Parts: sequence; structure tokens; C-alpha cells
Amino acid sequence: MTYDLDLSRTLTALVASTAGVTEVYPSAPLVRSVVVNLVAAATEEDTSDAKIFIDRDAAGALTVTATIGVDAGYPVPATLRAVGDAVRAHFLNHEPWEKSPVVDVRVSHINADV
Amino acid sequence: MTDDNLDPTSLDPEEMLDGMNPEDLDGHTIDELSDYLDAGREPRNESIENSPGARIALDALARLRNESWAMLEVEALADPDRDQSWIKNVLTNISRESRAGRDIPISHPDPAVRLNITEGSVRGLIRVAADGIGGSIIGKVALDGDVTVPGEAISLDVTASATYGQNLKSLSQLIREKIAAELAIHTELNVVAINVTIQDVHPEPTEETP
Repeated sequence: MTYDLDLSRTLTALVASTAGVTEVYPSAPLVRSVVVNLVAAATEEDTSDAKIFIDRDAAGALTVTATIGVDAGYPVPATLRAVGDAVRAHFLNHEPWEKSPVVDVRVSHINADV
Repeated sequence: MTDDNLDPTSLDPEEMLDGMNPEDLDGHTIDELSDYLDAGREPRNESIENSPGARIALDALARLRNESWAMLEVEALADPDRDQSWIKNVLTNISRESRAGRDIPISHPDPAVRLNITEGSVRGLIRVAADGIGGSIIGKVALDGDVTVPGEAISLDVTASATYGQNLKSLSQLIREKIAAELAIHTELNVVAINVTIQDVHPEPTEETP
């Protein structure tokens, strides 16, 4: 869990720094979030900066899920592609042992008040 | 008619919000969001701020207060007995439309990269675009068609309230053009029709409006 938590933190910072991204929202399903928060509370570990959901199936295949807000001044399609490309590039350059992760990025809020 | 004739309770936001039962603002109600807005979003509520649906609703509520409360006050001065259900309908629609809804795909050459924009954020975008024109408040936004299939023909149905004295045909056309332009920038939807219906006309706010 520590590796995936660190990976989530790294990817959260990466996504948040992409031009046009105003917010990275927690992406984990509710039940998973509750469990993670309980574990974090027990270990006094702050998980508020780990908002990207890292999921592995039984075979170890990785799915990375990001939910973001976008500045209305930036076209959503280009911003989404930039985030997807940045995450894929991170795995290619820094985590090459991970086999072809699926990257799932969703815009849930377009912020016109930035 | 003077200000003395205005029944202050007729403009009570709490009364307007009473009885609303939003289903999916990550556990928050429009009433709660309204209070949070009143408090200047302080102290910061992480649960609200981390909810895209609640954020879309907060944005819409803030615009509604800036634009339409003056419209409502003028109307109450002119006719205190008039049914004010339209604003309650707007609030109910904001609550319902802020939910994430369907995923609308955005293309990427790599099939392992799946990109989507939520229907809720598109509805929020449409509200921002149309409310920004001035002189009108969007009532309801609906996307008709299978938005989850790339290239599928989609039509939009939008209702609005307008201030009195405007050319409604020109206003409708302006709303249509503004929405079309924003959707072309932010989505890959194949929009074949934008139907705008002006459902209500309200007195124009003046500088004397309290």
C-alpha cells in the first residue's frame, strides 16, 4: 500500500501541475476511501495529497484514475490529453516495470471563476 | 407600491430551499451549500470542496444570487402575490443537473488512455455560458441523445427566464450561439440542435431596487 500511496501522491502532484488543471478530486470509490481514511487515521498518515486512485487487478494490471477540474480558459479535450500523456510518460520514464497501465481521466468540473 | 409593501418573508432563501431533497451532491443538500456560500465558504469544508457536483452547484448558486435575486425582488415589489415557484424550480434543476451523470468521451490515440467529461460538468458549462449573457437566467438544461457514443447526434433543450423588454428571438439566438461556441471548445459532441425556450419574463432590475 505504501508504494501505491507514494505513487498516488506523485501522480496527484503531476496532474495538478498540468496547465489548465484547477483541482484534483479524490477518485477512489467511496468504500475504498472510507477504508483508506480509517487506516490513515490509525497510522496518523496524511493521505489528503494522494487523490489519484491506483487499482490493481488479480493479475497485477494497473488502472490509474484521475478526476479533475479544468479552467474554462483551457479547452477540456487538450487538457485531458495533456494529463493522460503526462501520466503515461511518468510510467514510461519512472516506473518502467509497470506493464501498460490503463489511464482513466475524467473532468468533473469546468471552473469559470478562476 | 413602496418598500413597506414588500413582505420580507416572500424573499427568504430558506423558504425557497425548504423541502428540497437533492439526491447526489455527495451527501450535501442545496440548503447546506447555500449556507456555506453565505458564510463566504469559511471555514473551508473539505467534503464540499472535494465534491465536483457540490462545486458545480455552488458556482450556479453564486451566479443565481448575483443575477436573479434582484430580478426576484423587483417582481415581489410589483406583485407580492405572484408565485415564485420558478426560482425554486431553478434551484431544483441546479441540484439535479450538478450530478455527474453520464461520461462523455474525449478521443485519444492510445486506447489505454480513456478520457471523459461528465454530463454534469457540461450542464454546468452550459449554465455558465448562458447566464453570462445577462438578462436571462437558465432554468433547465437537458442533453438528449446517447452522449456516451462518439459522433452520436445530440440535441440540447434549454429553458430560460428573461428580463422584460428584450427581443426574445435575439436573446434566444444569442444563448444558442454562446452555448454552441462553448461546447465546440470543450467537448467533441455532435450537437445538431439547441432548442431554447423562454418560459418566463420578469421585470428588469433598476438601481433603485433594494
